[in-house]
Amino acid sequence: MTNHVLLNNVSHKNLRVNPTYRPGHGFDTNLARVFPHELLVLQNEYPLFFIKNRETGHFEPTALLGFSEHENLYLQDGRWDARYMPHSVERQPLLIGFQEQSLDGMPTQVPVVHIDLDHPSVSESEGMPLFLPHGGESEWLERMTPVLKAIHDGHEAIAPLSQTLVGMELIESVSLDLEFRDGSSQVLKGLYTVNESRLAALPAPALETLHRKGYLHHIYMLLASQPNLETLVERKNRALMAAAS
Amino acid sequence: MTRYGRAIREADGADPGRVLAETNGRAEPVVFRGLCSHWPLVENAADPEALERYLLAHYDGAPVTAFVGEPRNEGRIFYNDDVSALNFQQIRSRLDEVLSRIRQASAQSPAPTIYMGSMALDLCLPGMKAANSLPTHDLAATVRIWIGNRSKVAAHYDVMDNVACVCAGRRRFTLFPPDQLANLYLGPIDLTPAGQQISLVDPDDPDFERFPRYADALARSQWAELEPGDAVYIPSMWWHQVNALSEFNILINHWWRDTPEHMGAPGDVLMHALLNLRGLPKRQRDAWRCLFDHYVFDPPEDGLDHIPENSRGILGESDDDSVRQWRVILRNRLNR
Repeated sequence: MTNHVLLNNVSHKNLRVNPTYRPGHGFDTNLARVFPHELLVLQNEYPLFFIKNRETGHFEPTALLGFSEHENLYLQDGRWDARYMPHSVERQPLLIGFQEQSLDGMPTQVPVVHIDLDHPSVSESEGMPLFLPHGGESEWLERMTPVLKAIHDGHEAIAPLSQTLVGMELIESVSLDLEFRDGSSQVLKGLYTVNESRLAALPAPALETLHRKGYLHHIYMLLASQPNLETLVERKNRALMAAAS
Repeated sequence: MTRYGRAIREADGADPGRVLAETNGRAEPVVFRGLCSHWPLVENAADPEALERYLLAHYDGAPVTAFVGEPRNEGRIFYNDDVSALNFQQIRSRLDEVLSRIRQASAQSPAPTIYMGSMALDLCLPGMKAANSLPTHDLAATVRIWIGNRSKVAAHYDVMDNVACVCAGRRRFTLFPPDQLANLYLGPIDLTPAGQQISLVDPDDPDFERFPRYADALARSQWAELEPGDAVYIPSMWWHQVNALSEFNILINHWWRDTPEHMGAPGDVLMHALLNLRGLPKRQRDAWRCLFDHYVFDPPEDGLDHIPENSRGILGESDDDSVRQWRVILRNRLNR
Protein backbone atom coordinates (compact mmCIF):
# COMPACT_ATOMS: atom_id res chain seq x y z
CA MET A 1 0.00 0.00 0.00
CA THR A 2 1.11 3.52 -0.64
CA ASN A 3 -0.12 6.83 0.72
CA HIS A 4 1.40 9.68 -1.27
CA VAL A 5 0.97 13.20 0.07
CA LEU A 6 2.60 16.56 -0.52
CA LEU A 7 5.49 16.90 1.93
CA ASN A 8 5.19 19.90 4.22
CA ASN A 9 7.10 21.07 7.24
CA VAL A 10 4.06 21.50 9.48
CA SER A 11 2.15 18.19 9.24
CA HIS A 12 5.40 16.27 8.81
CA LYS A 13 7.61 18.20 11.22
CA ASN A 14 8.42 15.14 13.35
CA LEU A 15 8.88 12.58 10.58
CA ARG A 16 12.08 10.58 10.27
CA VAL A 17 13.38 8.26 7.61
CA ASN A 18 15.21 5.08 8.47
CA PRO A 19 15.65 2.84 5.45
CA THR A 20 16.14 -0.81 6.41
CA TYR A 21 17.53 -2.88 3.61
CA ARG A 22 15.93 -6.17 4.61
CA PRO A 23 13.12 -8.10 2.98
CA GLY A 24 9.76 -6.72 4.10
CA HIS A 25 10.88 -3.10 4.50
CA GLY A 26 9.69 -1.59 1.25
CA PHE A 27 12.49 -2.59 -1.09
CA ASP A 28 11.22 -5.99 -2.20
CA THR A 29 11.41 -5.63 -5.94
CA ASN A 30 13.53 -7.38 -8.54
CA LEU A 31 13.55 -4.40 -10.93
CA ALA A 32 14.71 -0.86 -10.23
CA ARG A 33 13.92 1.85 -12.69
CA VAL A 34 17.11 3.63 -13.71
CA PHE A 35 17.81 6.69 -15.81
CA PRO A 36 20.19 7.36 -18.67
CA HIS A 37 22.34 9.80 -16.66
CA GLU A 38 23.26 7.14 -14.07
CA LEU A 39 24.07 4.24 -16.39
CA LEU A 40 27.79 4.99 -16.14
CA VAL A 41 27.95 4.39 -12.41
CA LEU A 42 25.41 1.56 -12.48
CA GLN A 43 27.08 -0.57 -15.17
CA ASN A 44 29.69 -1.78 -12.72
CA GLU A 45 27.13 -3.04 -10.20
CA TYR A 46 23.90 -4.21 -11.83
CA PRO A 47 22.83 -6.10 -14.95
CA LEU A 48 21.05 -3.44 -17.00
CA PHE A 49 18.22 -4.05 -19.46
CA PHE A 50 15.22 -2.33 -20.91
CA ILE A 51 11.68 -3.19 -19.97
CA LYS A 52 8.68 -2.12 -21.97
CA ASN A 53 6.28 0.26 -20.29
CA ARG A 54 2.85 -1.08 -21.25
CA GLU A 55 1.21 2.34 -20.90
CA THR A 56 3.62 4.46 -22.89
CA GLY A 57 5.12 1.77 -25.12
CA HIS A 58 8.59 3.14 -24.33
CA PHE A 59 11.57 0.97 -23.45
CA GLU A 60 12.86 2.08 -20.06
CA PRO A 61 16.29 1.28 -18.67
CA THR A 62 16.09 -1.03 -15.67
CA ALA A 63 18.48 -2.64 -13.21
CA LEU A 64 17.85 -6.32 -12.48
CA LEU A 65 18.01 -6.94 -8.72
CA GLY A 66 16.66 -10.50 -8.51
CA PHE A 67 15.00 -13.28 -10.43
CA SER A 68 11.46 -13.41 -9.07
CA GLU A 69 9.00 -10.59 -8.54
CA HIS A 70 9.87 -9.72 -4.94
CA GLU A 71 13.46 -10.96 -4.85
CA ASN A 72 16.04 -8.25 -4.21
CA LEU A 73 19.47 -9.85 -3.90
CA TYR A 74 21.10 -6.53 -2.99
CA LEU A 75 19.44 -6.53 0.42
CA GLN A 76 22.23 -7.86 2.58
CA ASP A 77 22.09 -7.94 6.38
CA GLY A 78 20.23 -4.65 6.58
CA ARG A 79 22.36 -2.77 4.09
CA TRP A 80 22.25 -2.24 0.36
CA ASP A 81 25.13 -4.28 -0.94
CA ALA A 82 26.49 -2.08 -3.72
CA ARG A 83 28.66 1.00 -3.95
CA TYR A 84 26.03 2.90 -5.88
CA MET A 85 22.30 2.84 -5.35
CA PRO A 86 19.93 3.67 -8.22
CA HIS A 87 18.29 7.06 -7.66
CA SER A 88 14.86 5.40 -7.78
CA VAL A 89 15.86 3.40 -4.67
CA GLU A 90 17.77 6.15 -2.91
CA ARG A 91 14.86 8.62 -3.11
CA GLN A 92 12.46 6.40 -1.15
CA PRO A 93 10.15 7.22 0.60
CA LEU A 94 10.12 10.52 -1.31
CA LEU A 95 8.80 10.96 -4.81
CA ILE A 96 8.00 13.72 -7.23
CA GLY A 97 4.48 15.00 -7.55
CA PHE A 98 3.12 17.84 -9.61
CA GLN A 99 1.19 20.90 -8.68
CA GLU A 100 -0.45 23.27 -11.11
CA GLN A 101 0.70 26.83 -10.62
CA SER A 102 0.07 29.86 -12.76
CA LEU A 103 3.35 31.33 -13.99
CA ASP A 104 3.07 34.52 -16.09
CA GLY A 105 -0.60 33.67 -16.62
CA MET A 106 0.16 30.18 -17.94
CA PRO A 107 -0.93 27.10 -16.00
CA THR A 108 2.29 25.18 -15.42
CA GLN A 109 2.94 21.80 -13.85
CA VAL A 110 5.55 22.44 -11.19
CA PRO A 111 7.37 19.45 -9.64
CA VAL A 112 6.93 19.22 -5.87
CA VAL A 113 8.14 16.72 -3.26
CA HIS A 114 5.71 14.05 -2.11
CA ILE A 115 6.22 11.41 0.56
CA ASP A 116 4.79 7.90 0.85
CA LEU A 117 3.58 7.95 4.47
CA ASP A 118 3.02 4.18 4.38
CA HIS A 119 6.61 3.36 3.43
CA PRO A 120 8.13 1.19 6.16
CA SER A 121 11.12 3.54 6.49
CA VAL A 122 8.89 6.42 7.71
CA SER A 123 8.27 6.92 11.42
CA GLU A 124 8.44 9.60 14.10
CA SER A 125 10.95 7.68 16.16
CA GLU A 126 13.81 6.31 14.12
CA GLY A 127 16.31 7.54 11.58
CA MET A 128 17.19 10.84 9.99
CA PRO A 129 14.85 13.79 10.51
CA LEU A 130 13.29 15.36 7.43
CA PHE A 131 13.18 18.82 8.95
CA LEU A 132 15.31 20.99 11.22
CA PRO A 133 13.78 22.13 14.53
CA HIS A 134 12.21 25.26 12.97
CA GLY A 135 11.09 23.74 9.68
CA GLY A 136 14.22 24.10 7.56
CA GLU A 137 15.34 21.21 5.37
CA SER A 138 17.48 18.59 7.09
CA GLU A 139 20.78 17.55 5.57
CA TRP A 140 19.13 14.33 4.35
CA LEU A 141 16.25 16.17 2.69
CA GLU A 142 18.69 18.62 1.09
CA ARG A 143 20.66 15.66 -0.23
CA MET A 144 17.50 14.24 -1.81
CA THR A 145 16.64 17.43 -3.72
CA PRO A 146 19.19 16.87 -6.51
CA VAL A 147 18.30 13.14 -6.56
CA LEU A 148 14.64 13.95 -7.19
CA LYS A 149 15.61 16.57 -9.73
CA ALA A 150 17.79 14.04 -11.56
CA ILE A 151 14.89 11.57 -11.61
CA HIS A 152 12.56 14.24 -12.98
CA ASP A 153 15.04 15.13 -15.73
CA GLY A 154 15.78 11.44 -16.31
CA HIS A 155 12.10 10.70 -16.94
CA GLU A 156 12.03 13.23 -19.72
CA ALA A 157 15.13 11.67 -21.31
CA ILE A 158 13.59 8.20 -21.62
CA ALA A 159 11.04 8.73 -24.40
CA PRO A 160 13.49 10.23 -26.92
CA LEU A 161 16.09 7.55 -26.14
CA SER A 162 13.52 4.78 -26.61
CA GLN A 163 12.13 6.28 -29.80
CA THR A 164 15.58 6.61 -31.34
CA LEU A 165 16.65 3.05 -30.51
CA VAL A 166 13.34 1.61 -31.70
CA GLY A 167 13.61 3.67 -34.88
CA MET A 168 16.99 2.11 -35.60
CA GLU A 169 15.65 -1.36 -34.75
CA LEU A 170 18.33 -1.82 -32.12
CA ILE A 171 16.15 -3.20 -29.34
CA GLU A 172 15.62 -6.95 -29.05
CA SER A 173 13.98 -9.08 -26.43
CA VAL A 174 16.13 -11.46 -24.42
CA SER A 175 15.15 -14.58 -22.59
CA LEU A 176 17.48 -15.58 -19.75
CA ASP A 177 17.95 -19.30 -19.11
CA LEU A 178 19.30 -19.52 -15.59
CA GLU A 179 20.55 -22.47 -13.60
CA PHE A 180 21.29 -22.26 -9.92
CA ARG A 181 23.57 -24.29 -7.69
CA ASP A 182 20.72 -26.15 -6.02
CA GLY A 183 19.82 -27.61 -9.41
CA SER A 184 16.79 -25.37 -9.96
CA SER A 185 16.44 -23.43 -13.18
CA GLN A 186 14.44 -20.48 -14.36
CA VAL A 187 13.59 -18.74 -17.60
CA LEU A 188 13.31 -14.97 -17.26
CA LYS A 189 11.35 -13.15 -19.97
CA GLY A 190 10.21 -9.58 -20.59
CA LEU A 191 13.67 -8.04 -20.70
CA TYR A 192 15.15 -6.23 -23.68
CA THR A 193 18.65 -5.25 -24.65
CA VAL A 194 20.56 -3.82 -27.61
CA ASN A 195 21.29 -6.10 -30.55
CA GLU A 196 25.05 -5.87 -30.97
CA SER A 197 25.25 -7.12 -34.53
CA ARG A 198 22.68 -4.54 -35.68
CA LEU A 199 24.61 -1.89 -33.82
CA ALA A 200 27.80 -2.97 -35.60
CA ALA A 201 26.03 -2.81 -38.96
CA LEU A 202 24.72 0.73 -38.50
CA PRO A 203 25.78 3.15 -41.23
CA ALA A 204 28.02 6.05 -40.20
CA PRO A 205 25.32 8.79 -40.15
CA ALA A 206 23.15 6.74 -37.78
CA LEU A 207 26.13 6.12 -35.51
CA GLU A 208 26.89 9.81 -35.50
CA THR A 209 23.31 10.57 -34.51
CA LEU A 210 23.59 8.13 -31.60
CA HIS A 211 26.90 9.59 -30.57
CA ARG A 212 25.77 13.22 -30.72
CA LYS A 213 22.75 12.52 -28.54
CA GLY A 214 24.91 10.66 -26.02
CA TYR A 215 22.99 7.44 -26.74
CA LEU A 216 26.03 5.51 -27.97
CA HIS A 217 27.50 5.97 -24.52
CA HIS A 218 24.28 4.69 -22.90
CA ILE A 219 24.25 1.66 -25.20
CA TYR A 220 27.80 0.69 -24.30
CA MET A 221 27.11 1.11 -20.61
CA LEU A 222 24.18 -1.28 -20.99
CA LEU A 223 26.29 -3.81 -22.91
CA ALA A 224 29.19 -3.48 -20.47
CA SER A 225 26.87 -4.34 -17.60
CA GLN A 226 26.13 -7.85 -18.88
CA PRO A 227 28.84 -9.63 -16.82
CA ASN A 228 26.94 -8.47 -13.71
CA LEU A 229 24.33 -11.07 -14.56
CA GLU A 230 26.84 -13.76 -13.56
CA THR A 231 27.50 -11.92 -10.31
CA LEU A 232 23.79 -11.72 -9.63
CA VAL A 233 23.45 -15.48 -10.19
CA GLU A 234 26.31 -15.90 -7.70
CA ARG A 235 24.39 -13.79 -5.17
CA LYS A 236 21.40 -16.04 -5.67
CA ASN A 237 23.54 -19.15 -5.24
CA ARG A 238 25.02 -17.79 -2.02
CA ALA A 239 21.52 -17.04 -0.75
CA LEU A 240 20.37 -20.56 -1.66
CA MET A 241 23.37 -22.14 0.09
CA ALA A 242 22.86 -19.99 3.17
CA ALA A 243 19.20 -20.99 3.28
CA ALA A 244 20.10 -24.66 2.89
CA SER A 245 22.73 -24.71 5.61
CA MET B 1 -21.24 58.64 -7.14
CA THR B 2 -19.45 61.80 -6.08
CA ARG B 3 -15.85 61.81 -7.19
CA TYR B 4 -13.27 62.59 -4.59
CA GLY B 5 -9.64 63.42 -5.21
CA ARG B 6 -8.66 64.64 -8.62
CA ALA B 7 -8.21 63.50 -12.19
CA ILE B 8 -4.81 62.11 -13.11
CA ARG B 9 -2.69 64.68 -14.93
CA GLU B 10 -2.85 64.22 -18.70
CA ALA B 11 0.17 64.56 -20.96
CA ASP B 12 -0.21 65.85 -24.50
CA GLY B 13 1.45 64.48 -27.57
CA ALA B 14 3.52 61.70 -26.07
CA ASP B 15 5.55 59.73 -28.61
CA PRO B 16 4.55 56.05 -28.34
CA GLY B 17 8.01 55.11 -29.56
CA ARG B 18 9.69 56.79 -26.59
CA VAL B 19 7.03 56.94 -23.91
CA LEU B 20 8.42 54.15 -21.72
CA ALA B 21 11.93 55.57 -21.65
CA GLU B 22 10.60 59.05 -20.93
CA THR B 23 8.22 57.86 -18.24
CA ASN B 24 10.78 55.68 -16.47
CA GLY B 25 11.60 57.13 -13.06
CA ARG B 26 8.68 59.57 -12.84
CA ALA B 27 7.07 59.79 -9.42
CA GLU B 28 3.49 60.75 -10.37
CA PRO B 29 0.87 59.01 -12.52
CA VAL B 30 0.16 60.32 -16.02
CA VAL B 31 -2.58 59.64 -18.55
CA PHE B 32 -1.73 59.53 -22.25
CA ARG B 33 -4.86 59.95 -24.38
CA GLY B 34 -4.82 58.18 -27.72
CA LEU B 35 -1.30 56.85 -27.24
CA CYS B 36 -2.11 53.48 -28.84
CA SER B 37 -4.93 54.40 -31.22
CA HIS B 38 -2.88 53.06 -34.11
CA TRP B 39 -2.65 49.50 -32.74
CA PRO B 40 -4.63 46.93 -34.79
CA LEU B 41 -6.38 45.76 -31.60
CA VAL B 42 -7.55 49.28 -30.84
CA GLU B 43 -8.69 49.87 -34.42
CA ASN B 44 -10.98 46.84 -34.01
CA ALA B 45 -12.09 47.86 -30.52
CA ALA B 46 -15.72 48.53 -31.46
CA ASP B 47 -16.20 45.17 -33.15
CA PRO B 48 -16.01 42.21 -30.74
CA GLU B 49 -16.14 39.67 -33.57
CA ALA B 50 -13.23 41.28 -35.38
CA LEU B 51 -11.29 41.41 -32.11
CA GLU B 52 -11.92 37.74 -31.50
CA ARG B 53 -10.81 36.83 -35.03
CA TYR B 54 -7.69 38.95 -34.66
CA LEU B 55 -6.75 37.36 -31.32
CA LEU B 56 -7.39 33.80 -32.47
CA ALA B 57 -5.39 34.34 -35.65
CA HIS B 58 -2.36 34.93 -33.40
CA TYR B 59 -3.10 32.23 -30.82
CA ASP B 60 -1.01 29.09 -30.90
CA GLY B 61 -3.02 27.07 -28.38
CA ALA B 62 -0.97 27.69 -25.22
CA PRO B 63 -2.91 26.91 -22.03
CA VAL B 64 -4.01 29.95 -20.03
CA THR B 65 -5.17 30.60 -16.48
CA ALA B 66 -8.53 32.33 -16.07
CA PHE B 67 -10.67 33.42 -13.13
CA VAL B 68 -14.39 32.61 -13.22
CA GLY B 69 -16.75 34.29 -10.77
CA GLU B 70 -20.44 33.87 -10.03
CA PRO B 71 -22.92 36.52 -11.23
CA ARG B 72 -23.72 37.58 -7.67
CA ASN B 73 -20.11 38.85 -7.29
CA GLU B 74 -20.91 41.53 -9.89
CA GLY B 75 -17.41 41.32 -11.30
CA ARG B 76 -15.65 41.83 -7.99
CA ILE B 77 -12.44 39.76 -7.85
CA PHE B 78 -12.37 39.38 -4.11
CA TYR B 79 -12.90 37.12 -1.09
CA ASN B 80 -15.84 35.22 0.34
CA ASP B 81 -17.79 36.78 3.24
CA ASP B 82 -15.34 35.90 6.01
CA VAL B 83 -12.16 36.40 3.92
CA SER B 84 -11.27 32.71 4.33
CA ALA B 85 -11.22 31.96 0.59
CA LEU B 86 -11.31 33.72 -2.76
CA ASN B 87 -14.68 34.36 -4.40
CA PHE B 88 -13.69 33.04 -7.81
CA GLN B 89 -12.39 29.84 -9.30
CA GLN B 90 -9.08 29.63 -11.06
CA ILE B 91 -9.39 27.42 -14.13
CA ARG B 92 -7.00 26.01 -16.69
CA SER B 93 -8.35 27.11 -20.02
CA ARG B 94 -7.60 28.19 -23.55
CA LEU B 95 -7.93 31.61 -25.11
CA ASP B 96 -10.68 30.46 -27.49
CA GLU B 97 -12.63 29.08 -24.53
CA VAL B 98 -12.17 32.32 -22.57
CA LEU B 99 -13.45 34.33 -25.54
CA SER B 100 -16.46 32.11 -26.04
CA ARG B 101 -17.32 32.26 -22.33
CA ILE B 102 -17.17 36.08 -22.53
CA ARG B 103 -19.45 35.99 -25.58
CA GLN B 104 -21.94 33.72 -23.80
CA ALA B 105 -21.83 35.87 -20.65
CA SER B 106 -22.76 38.97 -22.64
CA ALA B 107 -26.17 37.39 -23.28
CA GLN B 108 -26.75 36.77 -19.55
CA SER B 109 -28.00 39.13 -16.87
CA PRO B 110 -26.60 39.12 -14.29
CA ALA B 111 -23.49 37.74 -15.99
CA PRO B 112 -20.73 35.57 -14.56
CA THR B 113 -17.26 37.10 -14.44
CA ILE B 114 -14.55 35.84 -16.81
CA TYR B 115 -11.13 37.31 -16.29
CA MET B 116 -7.86 36.28 -17.86
CA GLY B 117 -5.26 38.45 -16.21
CA SER B 118 -1.59 39.15 -16.69
CA MET B 119 -0.93 36.67 -19.47
CA ALA B 120 2.58 37.06 -20.92
CA LEU B 121 2.10 38.16 -24.53
CA ASP B 122 5.32 36.38 -25.53
CA LEU B 123 3.89 33.06 -24.38
CA CYS B 124 0.27 33.42 -25.46
CA LEU B 125 0.17 35.63 -28.53
CA PRO B 126 3.78 36.22 -29.56
CA GLY B 127 2.96 37.33 -33.13
CA MET B 128 0.77 40.15 -31.85
CA LYS B 129 3.38 41.90 -29.79
CA ALA B 130 5.22 43.92 -32.43
CA ALA B 131 2.14 45.82 -33.62
CA ASN B 132 0.30 45.99 -30.28
CA SER B 133 2.81 47.05 -27.65
CA LEU B 134 5.14 49.92 -26.89
CA PRO B 135 8.88 49.69 -27.53
CA THR B 136 10.55 48.79 -24.23
CA HIS B 137 14.06 49.96 -25.22
CA ASP B 138 16.66 48.33 -22.99
CA LEU B 139 14.37 48.24 -19.95
CA ALA B 140 13.87 44.79 -18.44
CA ALA B 141 10.18 44.73 -19.31
CA THR B 142 7.40 42.19 -19.54
CA VAL B 143 4.30 42.77 -21.66
CA ARG B 144 1.00 41.27 -20.47
CA ILE B 145 -2.50 40.98 -21.87
CA TRP B 146 -5.70 41.10 -19.79
CA ILE B 147 -8.99 39.96 -21.30
CA GLY B 148 -12.36 39.81 -19.60
CA ASN B 149 -15.86 41.13 -19.17
CA ARG B 150 -16.92 43.52 -16.38
CA SER B 151 -14.61 43.28 -13.40
CA LYS B 152 -13.39 45.23 -10.43
CA VAL B 153 -10.05 44.63 -8.82
CA ALA B 154 -9.55 46.33 -5.45
CA ALA B 155 -6.61 48.62 -4.79
CA HIS B 156 -3.27 46.80 -4.69
CA TYR B 157 0.33 47.66 -5.52
CA ASP B 158 2.81 46.24 -8.00
CA VAL B 159 6.55 46.31 -7.44
CA MET B 160 7.14 47.29 -11.05
CA ASP B 161 6.47 50.50 -12.94
CA ASN B 162 3.58 50.12 -15.32
CA VAL B 163 2.22 51.64 -18.50
CA ALA B 164 -1.20 50.11 -19.12
CA CYS B 165 -2.94 50.57 -22.48
CA VAL B 166 -6.68 50.07 -22.90
CA CYS B 167 -7.28 48.23 -26.20
CA ALA B 168 -10.99 47.47 -25.95
CA GLY B 169 -13.75 48.47 -23.54
CA ARG B 170 -13.63 51.28 -20.99
CA ARG B 171 -11.57 51.05 -17.83
CA ARG B 172 -11.52 53.21 -14.73
CA PHE B 173 -8.30 53.50 -12.77
CA THR B 174 -8.30 54.87 -9.22
CA LEU B 175 -4.83 55.46 -7.85
CA PHE B 176 -3.68 56.17 -4.29
CA PRO B 177 -0.18 57.31 -3.27
CA PRO B 178 1.94 54.65 -1.49
CA ASP B 179 1.47 56.33 1.92
CA GLN B 180 -2.31 55.71 1.86
CA LEU B 181 -2.03 52.06 2.92
CA ALA B 182 -3.48 52.54 6.38
CA ASN B 183 -6.54 54.22 4.88
CA LEU B 184 -7.20 51.39 2.45
CA TYR B 185 -7.85 48.64 5.04
CA LEU B 186 -5.67 46.02 3.41
CA GLY B 187 -6.43 42.31 3.55
CA PRO B 188 -4.20 39.33 4.26
CA ILE B 189 -0.77 38.99 2.63
CA ASP B 190 -0.76 35.22 2.27
CA LEU B 191 -4.17 34.76 0.64
CA THR B 192 -4.57 37.22 -2.22
CA PRO B 193 -6.36 37.23 -5.57
CA ALA B 194 -3.18 37.87 -7.55
CA GLY B 195 -0.10 38.08 -5.33
CA GLN B 196 -0.47 41.37 -3.42
CA GLN B 197 -2.70 42.35 -0.55
CA ILE B 198 -5.81 44.25 -1.60
CA SER B 199 -8.11 46.82 -0.02
CA LEU B 200 -11.11 45.23 1.65
CA VAL B 201 -13.29 48.29 1.00
CA ASP B 202 -15.92 47.88 -1.71
CA PRO B 203 -15.06 50.92 -3.84
CA ASP B 204 -18.51 51.02 -5.45
CA ASP B 205 -20.31 51.08 -2.11
CA PRO B 206 -17.82 52.03 0.60
CA ASP B 207 -18.98 51.30 4.13
CA PHE B 208 -17.62 54.40 5.87
CA GLU B 209 -18.76 53.16 9.27
CA ARG B 210 -16.49 50.14 9.03
CA PHE B 211 -13.80 51.91 7.00
CA PRO B 212 -13.89 55.58 8.09
CA ARG B 213 -10.31 56.37 7.00
CA TYR B 214 -11.16 55.32 3.43
CA ALA B 215 -12.57 58.83 3.01
CA ASP B 216 -9.05 60.19 3.57
CA ALA B 217 -7.67 57.80 0.93
CA LEU B 218 -10.35 58.99 -1.53
CA ALA B 219 -9.44 62.59 -0.87
CA ARG B 220 -5.88 61.79 -1.96
CA SER B 221 -6.89 59.62 -4.92
CA GLN B 222 -6.27 60.32 -8.57
CA TRP B 223 -8.47 58.73 -11.20
CA ALA B 224 -9.09 58.46 -14.90
CA GLU B 225 -11.53 56.74 -17.18
CA LEU B 226 -9.79 55.39 -20.25
CA GLU B 227 -11.18 54.64 -23.70
CA PRO B 228 -9.57 52.29 -26.21
CA GLY B 229 -6.23 53.76 -27.26
CA ASP B 230 -5.67 55.60 -23.95
CA ALA B 231 -2.88 54.67 -21.55
CA VAL B 232 -1.93 55.35 -17.95
CA TYR B 233 1.41 55.34 -16.18
CA ILE B 234 1.11 53.78 -12.73
CA PRO B 235 4.33 54.31 -10.78
CA SER B 236 5.71 51.37 -8.83
CA MET B 237 4.05 50.92 -5.40
CA TRP B 238 1.08 53.20 -6.11
CA TRP B 239 -2.12 51.52 -4.98
CA HIS B 240 -4.43 51.06 -7.93
CA GLN B 241 -8.01 49.92 -8.24
CA VAL B 242 -9.10 48.87 -11.70
CA ASN B 243 -12.68 48.61 -12.97
CA ALA B 244 -13.29 47.11 -16.39
CA LEU B 245 -16.60 48.66 -17.40
CA SER B 246 -17.61 47.03 -20.70
CA GLU B 247 -18.88 43.63 -21.81
CA PHE B 248 -15.57 42.91 -23.48
CA ASN B 249 -12.33 44.49 -22.27
CA ILE B 250 -8.74 44.09 -23.38
CA LEU B 251 -5.75 45.73 -21.76
CA ILE B 252 -2.09 45.39 -22.63
CA ASN B 253 0.38 46.56 -20.02
CA HIS B 254 4.11 46.98 -19.80
CA TRP B 255 5.83 46.28 -16.50
CA TRP B 256 9.42 47.11 -15.86
CA ARG B 257 11.83 47.47 -13.01
CA ASP B 258 14.76 49.78 -13.46
CA THR B 259 16.93 48.17 -10.80
CA PRO B 260 19.90 45.81 -11.10
CA GLU B 261 19.01 42.23 -11.91
CA HIS B 262 20.72 40.94 -8.75
CA MET B 263 18.27 42.72 -6.46
CA GLY B 264 15.62 40.33 -5.14
CA ALA B 265 11.98 40.99 -4.26
CA PRO B 266 11.56 43.76 -1.65
CA GLY B 267 8.44 41.98 -0.36
CA ASP B 268 10.72 39.22 0.98
CA VAL B 269 12.27 41.76 3.35
CA LEU B 270 8.84 42.68 4.69
CA MET B 271 7.98 39.03 5.27
CA HIS B 272 11.29 38.49 7.05
CA ALA B 273 10.70 41.56 9.20
CA LEU B 274 7.21 40.40 10.14
CA LEU B 275 8.72 37.13 11.32
CA ASN B 276 11.83 38.47 13.03
CA LEU B 277 11.32 42.12 14.01
CA ARG B 278 7.66 42.67 14.79
CA GLY B 279 7.69 40.33 17.79
CA LEU B 280 10.55 42.16 19.54
CA PRO B 281 9.89 44.39 22.58
CA LYS B 282 9.16 47.96 21.52
CA ARG B 283 12.49 49.39 22.73
CA GLN B 284 14.30 46.82 20.60
CA ARG B 285 12.10 47.54 17.60
CA ASP B 286 12.88 51.23 18.07
CA ALA B 287 16.57 50.44 18.00
CA TRP B 288 16.13 48.43 14.82
CA ARG B 289 14.21 51.32 13.31
CA CYS B 290 17.33 53.45 13.88
CA LEU B 291 19.48 50.82 12.17
CA PHE B 292 17.13 50.51 9.20
CA ASP B 293 16.86 54.27 8.83
CA HIS B 294 20.62 54.62 9.02
CA TYR B 295 21.56 51.85 6.63
CA VAL B 296 18.55 51.42 4.36
CA PHE B 297 15.88 54.10 4.31
CA ASP B 298 17.70 57.35 4.91
CA PRO B 299 21.45 56.75 4.98
CA PRO B 300 23.46 59.92 5.71
CA GLU B 301 25.63 60.89 2.77
CA ASP B 302 28.82 60.66 4.81
CA GLY B 303 27.65 57.62 6.77
CA LEU B 304 30.41 55.36 5.44
CA ASP B 305 33.24 57.85 5.06
CA HIS B 306 34.97 56.60 8.19
CA ILE B 307 35.28 53.03 6.83
CA PRO B 308 37.99 52.44 4.22
CA GLU B 309 36.27 51.65 0.90
CA ASN B 310 37.70 48.15 0.62
CA SER B 311 36.42 47.25 4.06
CA ARG B 312 32.79 48.25 3.65
CA GLY B 313 31.54 44.76 2.74
CA ILE B 314 27.77 44.57 2.40
CA LEU B 315 27.52 48.23 3.48
CA GLY B 316 29.36 49.34 0.36
CA GLU B 317 28.22 49.33 -3.23
CA SER B 318 26.70 45.98 -4.10
CA ASP B 319 27.19 44.21 -7.38
CA ASP B 320 26.27 40.80 -8.71
CA ASP B 321 29.31 39.10 -7.17
CA SER B 322 29.03 40.60 -3.69
CA VAL B 323 25.32 39.87 -3.54
CA ARG B 324 25.93 36.22 -4.43
CA GLN B 325 27.87 35.57 -1.22
CA TRP B 326 25.28 37.24 0.96
CA ARG B 327 22.40 35.45 -0.66
CA VAL B 328 23.99 32.09 0.19
CA ILE B 329 24.71 33.15 3.77
CA LEU B 330 21.14 34.36 4.19
CA ARG B 331 19.72 31.20 2.64
CA ASN B 332 21.72 29.01 5.03
CA ARG B 333 20.65 31.09 8.01
CA LEU B 334 17.02 30.82 7.02
CA ASN B 335 17.27 27.03 6.89
CA ARG B 336 16.95 26.26 10.60
